[in-house]
Amino acid sequence: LRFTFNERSNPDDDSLGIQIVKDLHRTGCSSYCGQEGEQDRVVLKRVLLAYARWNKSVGYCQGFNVLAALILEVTEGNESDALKVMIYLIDKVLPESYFANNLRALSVDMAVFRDLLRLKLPRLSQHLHHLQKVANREAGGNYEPPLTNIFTMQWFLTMFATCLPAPTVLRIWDSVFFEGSEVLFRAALAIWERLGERIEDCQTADEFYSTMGGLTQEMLEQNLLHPAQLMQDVYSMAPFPFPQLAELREKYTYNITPFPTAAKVNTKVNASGPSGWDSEEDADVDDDDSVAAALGCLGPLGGLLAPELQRYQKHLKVEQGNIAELSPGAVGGAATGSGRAEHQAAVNSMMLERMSTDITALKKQYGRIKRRQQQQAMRLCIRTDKCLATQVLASQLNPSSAVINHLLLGRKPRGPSRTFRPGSAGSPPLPPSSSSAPRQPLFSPFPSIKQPRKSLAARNLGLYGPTSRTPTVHFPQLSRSLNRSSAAGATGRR
Amino acid sequence: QMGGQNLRKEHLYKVLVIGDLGVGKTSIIRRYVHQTFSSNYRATIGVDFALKVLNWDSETVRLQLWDIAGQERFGNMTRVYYREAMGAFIVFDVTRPTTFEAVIKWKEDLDSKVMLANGQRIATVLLANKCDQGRELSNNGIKMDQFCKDHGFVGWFETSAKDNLNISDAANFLVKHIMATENDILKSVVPDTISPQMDSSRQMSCSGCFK
Repeated sequence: LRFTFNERSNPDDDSLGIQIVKDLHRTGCSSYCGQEGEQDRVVLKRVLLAYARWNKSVGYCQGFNVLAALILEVTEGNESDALKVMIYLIDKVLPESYFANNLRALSVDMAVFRDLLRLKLPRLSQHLHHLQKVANREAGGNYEPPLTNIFTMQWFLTMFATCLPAPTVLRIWDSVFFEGSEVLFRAALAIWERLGERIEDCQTADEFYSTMGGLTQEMLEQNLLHPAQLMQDVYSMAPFPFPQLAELREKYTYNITPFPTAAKVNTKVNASGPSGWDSEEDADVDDDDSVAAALGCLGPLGGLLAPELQRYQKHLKVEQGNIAELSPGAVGGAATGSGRAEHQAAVNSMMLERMSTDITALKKQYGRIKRRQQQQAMRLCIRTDKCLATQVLASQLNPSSAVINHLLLGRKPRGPSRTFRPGSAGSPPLPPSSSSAPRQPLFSPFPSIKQPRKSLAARNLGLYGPTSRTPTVHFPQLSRSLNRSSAAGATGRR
Repeated sequence: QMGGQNLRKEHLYKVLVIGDLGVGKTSIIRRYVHQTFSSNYRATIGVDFALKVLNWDSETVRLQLWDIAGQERFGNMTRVYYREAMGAFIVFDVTRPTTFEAVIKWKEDLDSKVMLANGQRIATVLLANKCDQGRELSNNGIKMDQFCKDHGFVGWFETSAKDNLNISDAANFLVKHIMATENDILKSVVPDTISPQMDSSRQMSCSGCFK
């Protein structure tokens, strides 16, 4: 956390910073404009930059400014709470690659949504399809994109923050945090149902788009949709989880491939970025960062990390077995968030490539792998050497237990050992790091020891269910939501 | 081709507005369509759409303006909206040289993804936006003319969405070019056969791409 917020600049920051700065006043929220907005913009920038540093493979995506602005409003300007909520939302609640990898998962969801529209609102769907076909014919058989796409894209990427009034948006967000990303589909279906009549009057695609121009304005400014009614629709349209949704998502994940393979995309995206992954230091920083932040930062969010830690546990076992047998591919899996899988895949494939060409590089890689494994093992090691992280973790797999946070957050990690940091003058709490990286950030792996177990932001957003301090949670079916809130943890653990 | 055959002649043109993030694409469209400027708006997420209706002599021109997000990662999502465009604005920010450097990239991308029925490139106008901010290009006018010639722009304008400078001029200029190329296409396509008079450069450019 401290790393992501630190004042020192990273090589990536320049181009990232420009993109972020250009969007700071463009959140659609007037408090970020003009001279009075200066302070708010500074805070917003810090949060956006912090997220981009936290998850480099996602970085900054246009639309994050809108998300972060709303989150900051709910956390009343508390940056680190806002960051945590943002990480939880983007890395855990929404599908992976919603905002990265050319927004692959988003395009999957756009296709899935069209199928759901056909199932739930067949008349409207057919009408839209007809308009699209006519437009195709007029364009000489050229491809006309499905008409709902530009709206689905905007609605899903900002979770409706740019198209509905704030009170409605907050209700939808509460519901997304409770029930998962499927709420986006439900809300979109509810909206289209409401708009349906006026759209069925449109005779051409052009007319549809201009009608939608007016309707989106009305939706935003005039409460065209009553929030309570909308939420009623969201909950009553289908049982949870939405029937067929998982299958459809899977189907399109494998069927939509006008895109290059993940690893390729990653390389391309990053080659165009300022730094790319051209150095191992880069990857090291990433891993260190994610370990520290995963424990220090996400720790308060309870059992979220279970799958990662489970995977990590496996690695520790492998390591204990025989380090030399470790495949280079194993490096990536350790304690990284699932949102980083692509990144790891790219790093791994890069490593593989190098190894096949250079035997000395191979040796070096193994050394590096070993070192990193040791570093990570050590970080998870609690002072009493007997209590290995693996042992803690076993008990941690119990869903209701928050022991790991308690145990890990309460203690300092062991300081770096000389064996792999020869001649280092670093002070003990510093994490061991690969020696010669000049831009190695100085951060403590457990910077947030005294963090509250439950973040205020998450509570405000309804992560732990409505409380008296939660001004924005007004569920129409409060009892139902409360029942579900106990299951919210389960959603997160998935 | 069908749009031109109504009784009251009405043209429907699809126009793209592209360029780097934050150069002012949306502001230009808002100024042109809604006659407003505000720094309080939101960044374009993906693609946006606006319609401007012009009275053009005795005819009506409906301009579909497609506002394409500037961030690179939206590329795969937004490029499908290039198709069937008849014209484009490529916008850069006179206060940020990198956005001008990106102009060539945007132009190449455009030309590789959309082309007229006769295989020619669509009419594209270069807009040097934010000229209210004190950095004038006028001194470089000749160089800019040459740049446009070299890279296939039909012209360029210094614009300011804030001060409402040159925006409708630029749009009229683009519409004029679109109409001219439309006439060209009608002439060359209507006979529906390859005419021997067709000039060689045209034939070369894309006879193989026709489907």
